[in-house]
Amino acid sequence: MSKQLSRRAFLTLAGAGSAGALVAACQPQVVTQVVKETVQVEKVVKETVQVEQTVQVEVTKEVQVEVTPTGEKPLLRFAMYNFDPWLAALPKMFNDFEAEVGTAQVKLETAPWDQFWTRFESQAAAGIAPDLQIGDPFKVAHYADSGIYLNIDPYIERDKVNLEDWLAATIGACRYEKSVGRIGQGSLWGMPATLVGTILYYNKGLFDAASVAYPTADWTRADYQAAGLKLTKDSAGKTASETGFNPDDVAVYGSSTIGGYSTAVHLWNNGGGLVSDDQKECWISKPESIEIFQWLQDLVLKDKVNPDPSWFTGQPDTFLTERVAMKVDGSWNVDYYVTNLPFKWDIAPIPKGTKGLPLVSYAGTNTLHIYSGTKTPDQSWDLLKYISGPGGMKYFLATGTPALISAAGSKEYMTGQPEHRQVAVDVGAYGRTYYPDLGNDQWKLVYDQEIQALWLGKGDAQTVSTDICAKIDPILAKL
Amino acid sequence: MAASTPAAPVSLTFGDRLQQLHVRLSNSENLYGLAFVGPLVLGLIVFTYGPVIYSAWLSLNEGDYLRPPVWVGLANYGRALNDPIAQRALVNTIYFVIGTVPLGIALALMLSVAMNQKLRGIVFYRAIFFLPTITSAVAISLMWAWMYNPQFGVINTLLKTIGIKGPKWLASPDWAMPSIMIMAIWRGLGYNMLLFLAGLQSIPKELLEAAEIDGANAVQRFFRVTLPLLSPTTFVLVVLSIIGAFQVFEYSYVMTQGGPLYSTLTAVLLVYQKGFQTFEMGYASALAYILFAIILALTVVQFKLQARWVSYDL
Amino acid sequence: MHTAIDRKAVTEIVLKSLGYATLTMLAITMIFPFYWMVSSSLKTEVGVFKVPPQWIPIPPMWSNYAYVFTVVNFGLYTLNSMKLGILWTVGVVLSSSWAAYGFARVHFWGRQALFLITIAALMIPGQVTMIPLFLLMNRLGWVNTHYPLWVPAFFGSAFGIFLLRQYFMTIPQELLDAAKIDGCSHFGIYWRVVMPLAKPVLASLALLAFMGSWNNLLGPVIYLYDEPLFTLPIGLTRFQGMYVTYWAYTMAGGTLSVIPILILFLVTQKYFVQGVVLSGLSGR
Repeated sequence: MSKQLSRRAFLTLAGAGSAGALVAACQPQVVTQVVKETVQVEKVVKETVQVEQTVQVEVTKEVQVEVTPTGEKPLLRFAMYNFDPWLAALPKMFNDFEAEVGTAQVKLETAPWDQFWTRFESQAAAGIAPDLQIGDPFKVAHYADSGIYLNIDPYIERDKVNLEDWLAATIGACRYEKSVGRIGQGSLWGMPATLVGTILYYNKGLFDAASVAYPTADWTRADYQAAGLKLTKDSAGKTASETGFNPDDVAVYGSSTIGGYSTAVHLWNNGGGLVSDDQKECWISKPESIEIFQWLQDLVLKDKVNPDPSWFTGQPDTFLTERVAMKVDGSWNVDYYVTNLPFKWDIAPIPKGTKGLPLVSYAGTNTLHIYSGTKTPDQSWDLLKYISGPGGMKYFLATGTPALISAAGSKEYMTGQPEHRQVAVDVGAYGRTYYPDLGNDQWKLVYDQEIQALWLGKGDAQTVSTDICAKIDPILAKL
Repeated sequence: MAASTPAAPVSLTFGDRLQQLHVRLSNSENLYGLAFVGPLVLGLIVFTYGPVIYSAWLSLNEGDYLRPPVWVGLANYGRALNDPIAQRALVNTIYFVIGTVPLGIALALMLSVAMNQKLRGIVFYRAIFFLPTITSAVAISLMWAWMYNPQFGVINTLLKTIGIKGPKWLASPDWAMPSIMIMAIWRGLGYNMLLFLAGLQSIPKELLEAAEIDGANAVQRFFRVTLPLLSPTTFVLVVLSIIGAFQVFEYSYVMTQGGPLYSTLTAVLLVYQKGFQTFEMGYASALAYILFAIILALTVVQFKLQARWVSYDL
Repeated sequence: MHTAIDRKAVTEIVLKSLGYATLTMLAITMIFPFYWMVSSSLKTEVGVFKVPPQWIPIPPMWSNYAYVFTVVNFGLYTLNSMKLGILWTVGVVLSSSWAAYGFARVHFWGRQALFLITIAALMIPGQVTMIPLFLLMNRLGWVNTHYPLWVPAFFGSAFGIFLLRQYFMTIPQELLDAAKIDGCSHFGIYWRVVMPLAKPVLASLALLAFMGSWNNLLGPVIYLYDEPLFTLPIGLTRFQGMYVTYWAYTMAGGTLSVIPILILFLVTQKYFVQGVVLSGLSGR
């Protein structure tokens, strides 16, 4: 950023600086550009002169014209994986950006999720990654650590961006501290777009049919389990709590709460977890964790209210097909369900633990990043700021929970199905991350495999958990 | 080979070697050879072995392609050979190869003989058998996952009607790999069938007719005439099938992610996980090259054995 | 005499019917996923996974296809896939037969070793060479162009070379010697004798090569970023998202991409299967 100023440049700087002072109130960005790039200074001088003349007239319009003297606006490449709501929202945001801010043009590059990351890794290795892209919570550490993402602290400071305008958890998801390899602290490497959290979905129709009261914010996992027993029915109509219930012929399961995040939230609410926050200790074999693993295993094998994971093979969404009455899952489905579910449903916060601990759930953020090797960092920042600000957020509303507090709480977002939409926003306040620190995949791959023993009935929670920690400890030691 | 090369000399002087080179270069067969395989060699160097050398170098380091790697010599190879998960992956892969290659080839062979007949509507049968090969992998994986569902999949439902309680297929550590093997054989049939059909065309009808006149029945004609004449094609398919089977990846990646309990973790899936999920590309490369060495050794053995059963002359 | 022929005829008929029955059952399993893919493409999103499954979608949602056509630039992508498919196929067939002839009929020094090196290329998992290859393509300036997706075909395909070499080795030496006597060089033999004889195998190779290029997803995704360059698989996987996959549209896409290959197969299969009459009794 620091270049040696030649005499000519110094003089133009001084001249531009005084001209810039005149429009400082209206065009702070133009002023700072003057300081930064000596090459562009002359261009800016011309621009400020133009703007000065028309400052009372539509400023927006002038901005579009002013950059053309030296050629076209830079083109920003924005990479996103296939996710229809975003693919619909992003072009609208880009149009608005080009009209309102106009320092660059934007092109959207898409790829299917599976290939998106292999492509990004290849592009990063070759030095041709797109200027901006969406991030993955579990890869942010890797790309921040290897210097692929741009550190945006300087821009935050320069533009005096108030980070408290966004949900705290979502800003935390963009922070990474290299010296300890941890997400949640340190410099800022991107901005948040939308929030997802783990919540409880329930099928009102099935609840009514079984005469079970809807979930409330006071529910504990004991209440959840009790409801599950009444909601699980075999094809003869017998519930899981009745004698004569046929577990081999279940028509509807009451519960679906086994999966990466879905399992973890119960652990957290019991004071347990998978690993310690600094990723050094294995917590899977802590008594608080074992208690939950046993409870979950009982839900599957004893109570038969939760299907064992094999039941899901070949059927992607059992809530959609009404095979499952309640599920603990991510809020990313909410808007898809609003459009597609043919029955009455709602959402609620996940059930609390039974130990009186404050409620904790999973909250993750879809983050947006700038490539450190971009040739147009300033314009990229312009776009990033716009998209994560009110301008972009009004389109993100339609895709999920916005990370910007004002947008999330806006009337627009809060009205509509389902009745308790607020839950999807609130989860940002009490949600935590799912171990996104550097190297997290190394132990997670082992955990994901080994935990299956529990659902297959190959041992009780105590044995399986201790076994897993024995395998994970050496990996954690190296991280 | 050049006829004037001295046979088994005691020692070759530099002059001798120069003369050998001169003879070789001016040998027209060698020049023709250069013309015919020249482009191939160029392509191999640039598009294949160039990248291979780079990735082989990375296997001697720890890290990925994004930042300066750290030299560790053969540590990755040592780690791979001692890693129980890598060992399991290799065992799974060998299991897969043994389970799918012989059966797959045998079935494809029989199928191709059947498809080779001039019968009404045979064209549509051929197209039908080829369909799985050209239908998208996604559709196929989804279909089979659904069929394999333990509670209401088609397979277990059918088994129930004859009184057998079907296993959990993809969800069972014992049955997951066999489930994938069945899928793989089923999918590869059309592909191999196509190549066998092409090979069958080169068998002169006259030979088969002559054999029939001599009193050979269909089975005898198949084993005494068709099969030996088909051996060059069979050889290709066996070698290529083994090479392909050792690198099986798609099925476990899409359907089971290596589970349950590592039972469908194949070597290449592990390579992918280590390369693109945990970002340990150096280690992943080492795994890949160990696999390469194994496949290469097996292929060399097959080539040496081919003299025993493959006949190129009529 | 009479009874012997009758018994033979009866056994033949029984075996034939048994064969037919097995074949038909096998054919049903073969066609099943295709059928399911097509029928799913005509259902609503919710209807795709209904249990018990709805075998015939009523009413058929042709609108799914309409949607796919509006969202995906079908015509352009198909054209690109065609172009790449043809280029790739021509490249593979020509370069593989060229090199295969060299391996099969030209006795040059280092033949065996080079052949093994060629085949060895197939034994290296692509996942570890993907990024270095990408770096190379970037150096060549071929990223975001079609070049990486067809130029390598003109330098030989290990699979094609192996396949064709086997075939070329079965061509009787007498034929080649006769051609030599007639004054053909190796080039002449290649073009005038060997290639025409190899039509069945060449046709099979062409079909498989075209199919490989047509269905290739990873290559186009990694190398192509500008929409005008996109191929069909890129367009059709648009509906496979991270959280949610729109199955009905995905199946519609899958159906649409199978049809050209199927047509190609039906049209070309007479080139590589002439078929034989296995039993002399059927008369000529």
